[in-house]
Amino acid sequence: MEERNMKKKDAIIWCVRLGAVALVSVLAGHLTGGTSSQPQSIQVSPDLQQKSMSGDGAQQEEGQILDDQANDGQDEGTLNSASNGWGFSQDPYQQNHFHTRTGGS
Amino acid sequence: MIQDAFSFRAMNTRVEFQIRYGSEGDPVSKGEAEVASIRQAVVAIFEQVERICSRFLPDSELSVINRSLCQPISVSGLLFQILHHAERAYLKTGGVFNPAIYQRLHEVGYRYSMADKEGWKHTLFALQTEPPSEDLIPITAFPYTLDHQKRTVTRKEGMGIDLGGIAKGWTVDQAATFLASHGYGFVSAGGDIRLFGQHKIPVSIALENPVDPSQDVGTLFLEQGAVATSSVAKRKWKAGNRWFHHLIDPRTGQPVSNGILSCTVSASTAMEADVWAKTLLILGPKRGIESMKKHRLQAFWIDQDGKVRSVS
Repeated sequence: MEERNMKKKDAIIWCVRLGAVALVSVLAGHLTGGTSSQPQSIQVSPDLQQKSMSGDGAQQEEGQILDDQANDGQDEGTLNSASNGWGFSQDPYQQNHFHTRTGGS
Repeated sequence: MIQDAFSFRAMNTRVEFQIRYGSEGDPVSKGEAEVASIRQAVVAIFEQVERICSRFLPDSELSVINRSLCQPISVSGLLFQILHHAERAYLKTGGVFNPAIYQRLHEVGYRYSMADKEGWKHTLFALQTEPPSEDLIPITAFPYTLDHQKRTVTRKEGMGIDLGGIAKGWTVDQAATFLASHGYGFVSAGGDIRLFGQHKIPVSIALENPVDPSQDVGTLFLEQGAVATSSVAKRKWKAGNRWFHHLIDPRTGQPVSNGILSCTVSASTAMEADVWAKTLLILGPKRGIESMKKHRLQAFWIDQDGKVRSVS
């Protein structure tokens, strides 16, 4: 009888422990999501993927170094549509998507 | 109209938004008057922030603080919010982002808006006769304290406040929040871009080559959130034989010079992206990568040899 009670007690303690761990995990996830910058899912065009080198050196051997010559004429259509202000009809990639540029100020 | 594209100038930069009204599966047509009022509302958002936060406008709330006698000054909710965000950014970036660069910007010549040709003529002349110091002048202190209960700000003695980039990013976010109630698209201002609404097809964002701005180095695709680019190739000037630009490294008090020409960072908001793009550019490759990884941010940067590097 006493042994059964002990087992019951142990089981309850474990349930409480697991519950606490689960609660802490949920809270931690919630807090992380609420207070830190979330990574945005950036995809890159194959040309940029090829030309960019991983900054930490992990993929340096695989990447190619971008040079100005390799970039000649790139994205001209895109550029024109962007500078016209509205890219829908001149979309070089896909119909019905937005296009813009970033270069700092 | 089921879509609109509109651009205008504010904060001495080009502002643009593109929108499709309604949602992707359920487009909505707007009348001309409503389209005009939406455009006007976005312009008003930018004009209001500029009027309050510009360090170039003598009557702005920020200028009043910068001239104040270091007494608590009651400020608008808008300015208080941006000052609060700037304080948080300072802490989060370990002081790499610091609005206290105001004084140094002034000393190296950035005293007038880039649009003020007359002001710049005088400045460049003054810089030639009295060149800025090349000594290390680290900026370690934060330039103000906030009282959240009284909504007041107290400037610290001998310091000034510059909210340039962070105010621009914040404004882009505000405009995007407003436009999201009408449809989906993006807002862009001087390198800061924020998407709004639901995008089933990613927005393509060409990355300008800082060595040759007429060219792009590639394209990013984004479904939500924001990207921002900071570049030393913009807002720069020459006095004597020395080139200056507007990105001051608070650790040295001098314009950043580490071989990086531009940095593009993706984050949840344009304001955050703007802060981190600056931070990466200032920190340089080694410490910049550590910082981006720590904060789980994706970034690209281009160095003076035209090499593109990435961290994610």
